[in-house]
Amino acid sequence: MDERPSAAMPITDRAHSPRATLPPGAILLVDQRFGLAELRTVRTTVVNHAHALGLPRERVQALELIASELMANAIQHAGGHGRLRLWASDSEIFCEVSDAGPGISATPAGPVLDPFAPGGRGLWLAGTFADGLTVQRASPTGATVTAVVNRRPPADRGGHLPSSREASDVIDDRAGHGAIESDGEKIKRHREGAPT
Amino acid sequence: MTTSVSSRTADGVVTVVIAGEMDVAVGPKVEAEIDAAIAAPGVRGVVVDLTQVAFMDSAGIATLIRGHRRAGQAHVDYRVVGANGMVRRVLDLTGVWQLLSGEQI
Repeated sequence: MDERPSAAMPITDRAHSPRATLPPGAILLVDQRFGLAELRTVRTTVVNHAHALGLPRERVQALELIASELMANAIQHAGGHGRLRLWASDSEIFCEVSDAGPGISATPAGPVLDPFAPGGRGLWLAGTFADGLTVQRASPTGATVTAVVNRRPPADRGGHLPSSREASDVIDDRAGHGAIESDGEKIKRHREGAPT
Repeated sequence: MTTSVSSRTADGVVTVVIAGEMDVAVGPKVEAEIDAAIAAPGVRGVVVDLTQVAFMDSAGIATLIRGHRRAGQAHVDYRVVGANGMVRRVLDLTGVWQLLSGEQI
């Protein structure tokens, strides 16, 4: 892979590295620096937290893949190291990876992947399995990618979340960075408004 | 979880069996095994068996694609088999399963 994989999604231009503070009400579960040697232990830690939160198996697998892709992206294209933070609100789990690399190309890969291409699938896959993904370029000082996975299926959410205040804070913040969607058929648009 | 890679040869076909996780941490190890299979004397085909692979990310996919390319250059048949569950889903979504398995969707 010669080039840093680009994402099939709009990318915000806002310099940001990493978020200084978590949204109100969020619980920080993991904050760990990693390199290649720590990839698997950090991934396992993420999976264990997801299980402990009662995330359904399919979403645990999605989060495992997302964490792996975001870390591999930093390891392969951003100097070999990064920092992963995992935090949870009542309704969502966030996985954020920040690095000190060259930033991420804003050129979209497009909705259709070339099956013959040697690389460039990492962020696309992360975005496909996430319920929302934001990429914050901060070149030359690095990039921060934040993925969100809903803790419950859409039918179980909305309505009366135990702490809609925290949830809406999170959502408002992310909406400010631009909600991410991939191609037309697999839209991963996240709720942009507060729960009603 | 660790990743193990082994090969067995029968009738000119080398089967590379991968067990565990395919990610960026194990890429070179798997690539070396696939390269050795392609370069084996008298080899007609290489089969990569993913039956025991529990996790695969895009780095694992890149490893499989690289093997496909190397095998093509060496005029050796190359096929990936045995992907299931999340591994299969990831390969399907990225469009590489049809390419690597020879299966028609």
